[in-house]
Amino acid sequence: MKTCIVVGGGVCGLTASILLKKRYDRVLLVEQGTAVGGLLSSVKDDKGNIYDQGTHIPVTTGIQEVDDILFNFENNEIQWHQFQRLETGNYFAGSWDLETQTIDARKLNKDVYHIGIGEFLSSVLPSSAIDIETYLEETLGPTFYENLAMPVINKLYGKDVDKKRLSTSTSINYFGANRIKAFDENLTRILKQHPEIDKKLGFHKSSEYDTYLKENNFSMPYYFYPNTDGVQLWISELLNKAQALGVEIITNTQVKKIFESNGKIDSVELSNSDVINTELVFWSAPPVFALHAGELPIHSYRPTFRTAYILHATFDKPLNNNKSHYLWNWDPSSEIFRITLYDNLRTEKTHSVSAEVLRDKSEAEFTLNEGVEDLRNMGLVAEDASIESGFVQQIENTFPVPTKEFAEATEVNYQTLTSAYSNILVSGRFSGRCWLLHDVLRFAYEDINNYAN
Amino acid sequence: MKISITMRTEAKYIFYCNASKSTGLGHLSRSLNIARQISVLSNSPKVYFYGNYDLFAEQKICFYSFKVLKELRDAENTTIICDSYDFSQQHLLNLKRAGFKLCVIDDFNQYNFDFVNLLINFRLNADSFYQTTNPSCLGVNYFSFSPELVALRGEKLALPYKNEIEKVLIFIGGYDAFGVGVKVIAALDQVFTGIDFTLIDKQKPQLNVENNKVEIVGFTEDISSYFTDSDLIISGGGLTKYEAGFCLIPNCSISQTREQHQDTLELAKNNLTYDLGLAEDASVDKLNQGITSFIKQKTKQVNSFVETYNTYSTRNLALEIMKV
Repeated sequence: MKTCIVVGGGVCGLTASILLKKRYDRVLLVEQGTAVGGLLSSVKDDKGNIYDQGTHIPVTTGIQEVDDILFNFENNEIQWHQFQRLETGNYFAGSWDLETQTIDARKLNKDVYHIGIGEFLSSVLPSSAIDIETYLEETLGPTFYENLAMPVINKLYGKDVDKKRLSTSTSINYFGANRIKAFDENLTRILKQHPEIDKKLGFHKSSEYDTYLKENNFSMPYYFYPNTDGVQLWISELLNKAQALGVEIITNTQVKKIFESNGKIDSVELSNSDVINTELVFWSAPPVFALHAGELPIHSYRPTFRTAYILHATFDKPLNNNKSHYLWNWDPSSEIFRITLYDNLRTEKTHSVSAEVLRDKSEAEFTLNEGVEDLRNMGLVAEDASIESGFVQQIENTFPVPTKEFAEATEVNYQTLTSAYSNILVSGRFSGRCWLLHDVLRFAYEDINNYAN
Repeated sequence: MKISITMRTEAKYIFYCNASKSTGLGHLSRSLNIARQISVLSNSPKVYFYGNYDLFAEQKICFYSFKVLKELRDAENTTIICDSYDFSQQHLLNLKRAGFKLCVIDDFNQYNFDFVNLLINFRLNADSFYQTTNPSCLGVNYFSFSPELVALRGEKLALPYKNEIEKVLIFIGGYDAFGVGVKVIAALDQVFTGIDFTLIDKQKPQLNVENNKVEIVGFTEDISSYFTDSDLIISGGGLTKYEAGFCLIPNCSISQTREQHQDTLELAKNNLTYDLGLAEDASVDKLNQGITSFIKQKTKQVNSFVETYNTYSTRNLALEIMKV
């Protein structure tokens, strides 16, 4: 009997287990928590209003087999709705831009903008910098770095963080704070023909990005969200699908030991003392646990973690935005960096939002009052709207400060693990290869396909 | 001058220069460029101006939200940036003794005193010809340009170079003492056909243009707005020749003074301007010959503009001043 083990019960682990069940007789998914889903679990307030733990909007990967797993459910039409344009926007310099998430440099003081533009367009060579500060100074130019990107770094990682120690692959890039909106639409289109300027200059409207995707024959993604539920419904659907296919799911359990011969994992011992023979391990958890279980050398680095505070609130009146699915706040006046607007995601209207803040664990807790005040100041919550229910969720150790040392440790540990065993696949996020969920899923599919073939 | 000292801790910058009809706007313009860059670099800058200003100059200072001081005081943690040809050694020494940190813009090697905290000469190759043991900012890597010109340089660097000449800007200076603007227009009208000339001249002279279109601008708050569409600039040999080159715009210079002419020749040697001689010697025929000869070789300048000027020069200078 061909057996494989999947470690980690997030979306990637669940999807991998379903992909692997088509190729193996027995698939065992091992999750150390009490339930699968991880950060994609939804939460409820006292009045039963449902929120997600941050912005989580499922999107297609463009790979038919994966998308069938992710989005082809029974009662699909009733429980989910599908949309093709993800509406986002951003708050900066005291006003909203509901066209793109890209920070608009034109809102800066004129002198700052002009000097910034000169530097921005003078820097057209690819940067080989290994820290985010040098990278952004070389690409955006020092003035836009100081006035646009640095406040975002401060907001995410703390104002005292040593920017020279942060690696180039950080949320700054993933969240799009390495790009700016500038000039007018026509000049932007012309300038974007230069490959290096294209990387750092955003379109003025999301519709222009859609046109760009179509013109370059990229497949247009589809987004999904439950009509009345939170994103946890996705986890439930994937869990049902996995179980229906015969994937065995064990929670509250860890891999304690890995046994190998000739560079191949033969079996693993679980924390419940079961020993499972396996032909493949798909590892969708931090590699350091696998290195520990395999008694392999560990490149030790203890990252500093940020504490996430997620404000979940429901109001008695609709929000002053009936368009955006989620929003970014690049303005330093509030610590909130991202906001999810459920009325624009669901068919059911509850006037609920979630807003995310990151602080150091030594700092005071972010309070509901602070968050609601910020949302009011941003003009998102009407002045006469009252909060009906809500709470602030605190999640510790969730957001590692992405230093170069952290990136190096991730890379070294990934290399150690994958060099030690020929039959282990490590999920993209934990290997440092990618960060966004649809990329993680694409990597998982490719890894599994390449291994199986 | 009345100097008094009180205890203050916040960093403060005072630009000490004069600007009027007689002294011209050159010193004020470049001081404003530096002041604006310091404001961009500092969150809550305390930047002031001190000197003799006519109404126009004072309005210009206020336009950029800077204040004019009536007297020099509060030397504590204050850097004073001196830009005039008329300071005496004793006067500068008094400022230093009063507690000011002293930066001096010294175009002609007249203020090379050991008590000066920072000597500035941003003329081309100043790092070769200006000898000092003081801390210094020498050469075009410290030249001050306005934010608008920094933006324009960026755009010109990023967009394809335009070879055709469709618009010519003629700016001889605040005061065209030799009436050379009219001669330049006449010469240009012989060289070109069917293009646009813009002459910036407060005196608004009578022009006779047959083959081209001409617009006369009597006053402009921001000359750089005319740079944007210009394919060629004929300047009076002062700062404009640097500004045109910084923005990658081919340019010729008719120098107003012998000192300016020396500077023009230095730039011309490095393909950063084309020398049309001294204004006092200019004739339509000579200008025609010079401009015709220049047109044939104007592309040589563009590489030199890219290589020699530095987008960050104003920032470099402001950062050095802020370190004093």
